Amino acid sequence: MTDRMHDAFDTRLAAALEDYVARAYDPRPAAVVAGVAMRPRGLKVRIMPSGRSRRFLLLGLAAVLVVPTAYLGALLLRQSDPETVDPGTYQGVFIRRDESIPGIVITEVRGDGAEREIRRVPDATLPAGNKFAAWGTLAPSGWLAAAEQNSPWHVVLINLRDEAQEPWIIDQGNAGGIGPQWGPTGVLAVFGGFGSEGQGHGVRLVIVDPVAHTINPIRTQANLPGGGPNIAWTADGSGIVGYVYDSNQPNGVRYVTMPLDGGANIEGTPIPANPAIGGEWGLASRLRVCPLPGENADQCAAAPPGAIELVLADGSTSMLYPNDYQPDRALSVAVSVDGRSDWVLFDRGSGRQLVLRRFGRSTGASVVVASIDRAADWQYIGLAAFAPDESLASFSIYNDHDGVRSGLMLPTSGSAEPSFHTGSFVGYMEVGDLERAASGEYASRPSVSIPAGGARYQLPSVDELIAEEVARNPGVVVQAQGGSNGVPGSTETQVTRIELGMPGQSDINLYCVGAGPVTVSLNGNTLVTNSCASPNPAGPGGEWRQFNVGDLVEVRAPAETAWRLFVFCYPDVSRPLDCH
Amino acid sequence: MNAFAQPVVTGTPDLLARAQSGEREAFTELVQRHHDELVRISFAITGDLDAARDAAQLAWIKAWQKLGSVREPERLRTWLIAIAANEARQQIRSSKRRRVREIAPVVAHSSDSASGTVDHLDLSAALSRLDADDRRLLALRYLAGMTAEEIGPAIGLSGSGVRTRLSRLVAQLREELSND
Repeated sequence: MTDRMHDAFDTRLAAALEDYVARAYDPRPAAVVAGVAMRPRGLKVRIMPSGRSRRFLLLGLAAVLVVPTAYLGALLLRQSDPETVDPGTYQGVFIRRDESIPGIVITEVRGDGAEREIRRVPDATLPAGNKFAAWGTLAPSGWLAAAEQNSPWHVVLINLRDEAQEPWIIDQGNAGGIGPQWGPTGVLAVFGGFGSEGQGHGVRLVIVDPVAHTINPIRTQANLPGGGPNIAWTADGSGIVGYVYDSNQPNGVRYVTMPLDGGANIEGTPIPANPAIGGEWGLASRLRVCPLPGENADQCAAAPPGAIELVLADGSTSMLYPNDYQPDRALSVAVSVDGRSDWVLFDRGSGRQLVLRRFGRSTGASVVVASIDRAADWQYIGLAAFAPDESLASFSIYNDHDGVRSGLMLPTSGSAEPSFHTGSFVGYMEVGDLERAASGEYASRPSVSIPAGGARYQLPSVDELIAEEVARNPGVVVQAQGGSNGVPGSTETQVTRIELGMPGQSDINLYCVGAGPVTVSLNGNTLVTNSCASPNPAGPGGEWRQFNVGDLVEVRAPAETAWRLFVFCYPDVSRPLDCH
Repeated sequence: MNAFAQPVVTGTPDLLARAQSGEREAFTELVQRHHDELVRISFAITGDLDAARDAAQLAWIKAWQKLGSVREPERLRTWLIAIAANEARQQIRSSKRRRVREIAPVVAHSSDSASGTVDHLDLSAALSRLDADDRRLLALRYLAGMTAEEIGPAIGLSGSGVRTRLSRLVAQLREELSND
């Protein structure tokens, strides 16, 4: 056979191959592709001590996908592509309510999605007719911190390694607002309340050691940081990160370590065990996804919208990865355990699919690890946690409107499809520990039917959203409302005009799902922009605006985007607002 | 484009020299000229659009780093293709990646696929049964139009080794597709 001889079959084969690849193209401009290729390789960062920690990309219950932060541990120059790890060492653990008990069922989930029950704990375990909440947090030691669903919201410790051990109800502290946190040494910190002086004057914490079976309530001499606020352990487990007011500091606060004995604060910048939280306070380096126009977050200093920015602890910034994957939109980012690569979660199809990419830190190139089709009732979905060896990734799914929690498990090697599981993901256990904890057969759990190709989250009707607002804030008055379910495939821009029929100092809730942005203007002036990257409502930044009869509210949106809007005010005479 | 005809690109020696000297605009022009083909060839090997784009991107990263090793401008195209094909093969072999499900029909980018008088083979199923090495061989021969002597160094075989392997592969496909 020579290269130049070919028969009719060769011709047909060539033609068929051409047909097969005809649909393969890259929408990115050549300049972008070339730019990635020409980017300088080999990022050097100072070595910082790192404690063993999980990389949590947590979702707030009713918040936009939290942009996770990252702590730069020992970074190495690396020329080869990021590797994935074969599954098998860890499995996920979920907790769900089962009203037939009634109580909670704790299950382990394998990478291939098969489930096996570890424990059933009835509500009757709890005093005074309380019920277990359908969430918890699992320590690597196998101790699960569950909680009561209702007041007094006590934490209940369950030893998954020893079925004979009765659940231990911690009757001090509560999990009603601020979640308990496991420290690196297997000790649990539970929030006990603010002092009588209120926030800003230290807090009460309850330090629980399940192995020693001790409870130690302390009063701290610093405050818990963060918007929650948050209980954040130091990397060495010696204390909790706190802050005190210090006018000598640029931002007016100084971070300290609050020791576990309630003693004097330990001065010196604490190193947080969980860099995803600590980075937001400037205690660690972090990565962030630069917000799109209309998202309620600070713009990046060194990178455009949609790019990934690196923020060092000293505040200096640089662009790590540009926004090269449009129309895919980056949603969240986390550093891998070894610090040599980064995980980035993308939205694809404006709410129809999620794509997980792994970027090589030294090359800047990435590979797609998985795609996940969304279902129409998945309001929020984001990365919950990786297994310590990153063989598994879990995703948390939550819906504001029915309060349902569920999740996905995904082997990052690609050895199995993501599997859907009801209940809350609580953590990982090593397979060996699970063998001791559970017995019986694995069962494939019937999974929720995830529509092929993905489905956008289906927004409730505007009347349903208004009803929820009224339930939260009785007496609210709606001055205008509107919405659209979107026209699939349309490339038009839709403009909707709503004339106000009643006055008031008002707020706006604008929800949208699909291609963004959607903008709302008042008498021609832009008031609200929502990128639609999250089903969270956007508003004019908390500012109350005066709306008058006859004012024109204009909504400008891609016609394919679903949106809901209502303008509302409160006729509360105790507030300096006018609404009638 | 006829898979057996190699396109003639004017001005390549000058463009290559400028890119080799580090001129970013020249390199970008090279990307402009060749990226689509790299993506298509990578797709023939991976069967996965994301993997194909990733492979092509990785190929350009390597190309930028090693562009100075290209001595003959007329070999640039096959050199780029060989890198992309190997990256694509590596995508399949190293990660057992899951095929990303497409959520919307991808708009056909190229309208010059062969059609009309030639009856078409349904290749998708047959391709999916081939391993990464065979897919790469097919792509280099029938999409890129490379000769056995050009393919050999790219995949670590002699020219005659390529011909032998290709002959067996085509015979296998001929039998499979005639039975469809």
